[in-house]
Parts: sequence; structure tokens; C-alpha cells
Amino acid sequence: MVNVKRSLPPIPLFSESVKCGFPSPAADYREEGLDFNELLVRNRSATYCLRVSGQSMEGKGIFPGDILVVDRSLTPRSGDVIVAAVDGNFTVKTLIRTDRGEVVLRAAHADYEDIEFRGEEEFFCFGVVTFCIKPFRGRWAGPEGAGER
Amino acid sequence: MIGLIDCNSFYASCERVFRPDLKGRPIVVLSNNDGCIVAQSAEAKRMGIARGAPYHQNREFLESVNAEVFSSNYALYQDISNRVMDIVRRHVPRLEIYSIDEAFLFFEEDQKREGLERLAASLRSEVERCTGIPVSLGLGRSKTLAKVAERHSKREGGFFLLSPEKEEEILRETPVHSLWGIGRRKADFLGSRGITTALEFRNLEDWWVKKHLTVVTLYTLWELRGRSVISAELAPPPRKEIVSGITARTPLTTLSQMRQAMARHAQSAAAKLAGEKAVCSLISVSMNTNRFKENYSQSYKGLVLSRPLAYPPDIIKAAIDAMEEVFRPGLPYIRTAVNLGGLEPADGLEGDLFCSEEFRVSEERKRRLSLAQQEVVSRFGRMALVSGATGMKSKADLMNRDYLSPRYTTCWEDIPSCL
Repeated sequence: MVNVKRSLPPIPLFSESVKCGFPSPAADYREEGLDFNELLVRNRSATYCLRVSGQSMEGKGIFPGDILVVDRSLTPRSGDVIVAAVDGNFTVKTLIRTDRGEVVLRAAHADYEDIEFRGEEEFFCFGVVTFCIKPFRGRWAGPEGAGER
Repeated sequence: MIGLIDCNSFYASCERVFRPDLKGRPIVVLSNNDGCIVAQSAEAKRMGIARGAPYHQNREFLESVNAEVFSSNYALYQDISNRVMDIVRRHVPRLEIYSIDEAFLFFEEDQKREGLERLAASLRSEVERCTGIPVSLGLGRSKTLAKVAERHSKREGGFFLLSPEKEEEILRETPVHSLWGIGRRKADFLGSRGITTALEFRNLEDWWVKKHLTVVTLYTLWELRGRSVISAELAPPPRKEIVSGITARTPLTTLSQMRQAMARHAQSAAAKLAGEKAVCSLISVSMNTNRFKENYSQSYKGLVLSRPLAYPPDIIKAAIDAMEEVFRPGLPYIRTAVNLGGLEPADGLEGDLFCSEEFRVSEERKRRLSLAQQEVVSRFGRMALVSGATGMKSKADLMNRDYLSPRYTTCWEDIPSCL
């Protein structure tokens, strides 16, 4: 009736079941397991996931279908891969700041030209891409390949 | 000093976070069944689009002004709300979440003006940077004054510190009906006695207010004079929410005590919901330790319901589930409460053409059971028949949600795409 969404607890590498009596002293040393959130998410409340749909960044290894982890709290620096809003759409590009104060969004693909802005205020950065997650067997984990388009 | 942080046009702002093409365009959000307008962006407000207006009567106008229309997407709003509140909590640990888009912040008494201004500026820019939601912040000597300050902050670029010296001037330009806790009926009564501004109200005598209005109104009066007396317990419920809660004399520390407390609150909130012939789409629970003691802490969890609920056992189960996710054993919780949000009229959910027979029968049974329960309760008293916390299975989603935006942040299938 009520679907409560919970994140699954990470699978413990070493789990201790205590039946009765004193808890085992080894329980204190329990490994918590690998948690991908810990690896990929530095600032949870500022982290968003986006799915890549274009080819403009293939030269950087970012392909359609990949999932980008984007941190909005980071200040974008020249050379960062960022997600920006251009003409009402999100686009992933490399941010370049020129000596003359211009901002350039550069693709990593021969068919795509630079997108130039005269100043910071003309352009909106959604966030800095911190990771790119790619499926190598063409399917995402989860029920019926959740997230596949 | 007490602060009130408020997310500007929250639902509409959430819709805009993942739709950069909507910058500057009017946005309206519809109720669950796409029946009426429940929220508007600032642009839509300026065009005179009113909250509560039926959608079908305004459809042509909305099209003519190129407004974007959304069904309410509570999964998105609750997730963004959680993000906002987490960021606020990092800046100001002593906070009391008041509704999906507002929280009270408690600052140290001796905090200097410059320090507060710096903190406010970094808090507001951090929330906007990390979530895309613009927020405004008002500070005053009490919750009621913080509310006044927040209202005024909209004219001051989003921040206003209402210092005692300025109270008279600001209260003079604050209409009495906009005060926190002064509803239309009280405002009409005051108006009939020639009291239209908050300042005129503040200058009334205590005995007069007590005689003609309520004790809670007297607290509002004291708060306007700078005495902070409105606890979470006395606070008027947020607009469009139902609150049921209590402050216990002895702290609740065990899970079983807390389960019972939450079941009681959920039961009485569900009864109020039935009284308003409404359904809810959001449920949140909060557990606070004593605000006036060391190590104040609030445990809070908001849940999005997979479909609107009205049936008390469903609501109780959801409240207990939410509580168990954030309950910390051993903390001396004294204030516990259940909030129901995303309220909509219950009608319109019945007799849907597309729901299954099985579902219709089960809903009908629930409806009859609720009626029977109300009957028993009205004859034998409120606690004569209370629900055990059992859930029922149902998959159908009854609502019309033709303009629903994707669940950008809570569902892998719905994450935004980028070129």
C-alpha cells in the first residue's frame, strides 16, 4: 500500500550473528562493506545523476547511455567537465575560461564546435561532473534493467 | 534570534530545477487529480493566477500566457525539501522543520548582527547553489516576528533582520490578516473593531484579546512584543497541512513507546483528514528533544505516498515506517508529531473509470469501514475504536496526472538527460 523507498544497506563482508549471551567481541571489527555512495558521492544533498544522450563528449569517454554524477556544490574551474544549460537544454562539455574573460564550452568530438559566451552571467552551470558510470554489458542492474531507455 | 527560512514558490521552483527552458516562464502546479491550482511561480502570481482556482476554468488563459502546467510531483518535492533541510541543518543545527518548505532556526542569544548576516548570506547561497531553490530568510525575536521578517524580506532581496528598533515601523505596514496564526475570521473580527495593522493589534491590551479572542491569539500578541512563547505544540498548522502531536512531560526513549505515540498521532490526524473529507500525499513525522536544553535534536522523516491516502490504518503504517527510519534510541524525545501534507479533496478519486474491480471493492470496503468507525467513535468517544497498524495491498494508481514531471531525483528511469 505504502511504498516506502529505502536504500538497501550495504552487504557486510563479515557479518556476525549473535544468538544469545554476550555479543562477540569480533562484532566491533565488522566491516561495513563497499558502499558506492561513499565512493561516488561527496556531498549528498548537492549530488544529482543525469543520463547522457549525445555524442559530443565521446573523446573524453562519455557515451550515450552513461550516467553522470554531478555535484552542484563545486565551483567550476577551467578544464572541468560540467553540465550547463544551453538554449534550455542540459549539455555536458568541458569548461574553458580564456584570458579575455570569455567562457567556452568545448566538446570532445570533431563534429561539434565550441560554444562561446562573453561572460559568466550569460551562461548557467548546473554542476561539475565528478564521475561517469558506464554499463559494459549494455544493461543496468536492477529489476528489468531499470533505467534503460 | 529566531529565523524562518522559506523556499520561494517551492513546488514551481522544484519543477524549474531540471527544466532550464522554463526560466522566466509562468508555472502552475495542479492538485493530484489535476483538479485545481495548488501552487504558482512568481510570474504566474503576478498574472493574477490564484491558488485554489479550478484548472479547467483557467485552461485557456494559462495557454494564452504560455504557462507550463504540472501535476503535483510529491516525490520530487519531498526529495528537494530533504536536500534543502540537510543543507540548512549543516549551517544551523538547531532547527525545527515546520512544513515541506519552511523551517525555524534557533540562533544563540548573543550572536552579533554581522555574524547573523554572514551566516544568512552563506546559507542562502549554498542552498541555491546545491539545489537550485531560491530561499528567503527572516529573523526576529520570536517565531511570529521571524514570520513577519520573512514576509518583509521578499522586498529586501530575500533577507531581513527585524531588530527591535525596527519592529514598530515594520508592524505598521504589516496587515493583521497576514500574521502567523491570525486567520480570516479573527482578522475580520479585528477589522470590525478598527484594527487592521499588526501594530494596532500589538498595542491591544491582554485582557481584551483574551476576552474577545483565544488564548493562542494572546500568545501571538506576546510574540509580537518580542516574547518567544509559541512552541512547536502551539504553532498553528502550516497551510494545507494537518498536524497532530503532543509534548510529553516525560521523554519517550524506546521504540515501542514511540510506535504507540506515532500510532495515536496518525490516528487523530487521519480523523481530522476525514473531517475535512480530504486525502493526503505526504506524511512526515518529527521527534524533538527539549529545545531549551543542551544537545537539542530533531529527528525528521518525510515520506511520499505512492498514492493519496485517507484510510487510517494506511496512515498509521506510513507514520510508523517513517518514524522507524530516523528514531534514535535513548534520545530524550519530548515533542512528537505527525504531519499530513499534499492535501486534496477526497472526491474525484471515487468512480474512476480505469481502476480495477478488485481495487474498487477494496476502496469501497475501506470507505464503509471508515464510516462505521466514525459512527462508533461518535457514539462511544474518540478512543472507543482505534486501529491496529495493519496495511492492505493495493497497486492501482487512481489519479489523473496528465502533466506529471519525471521523478528526476528518486527514480533511475526518470533522471534528466543531457546532450
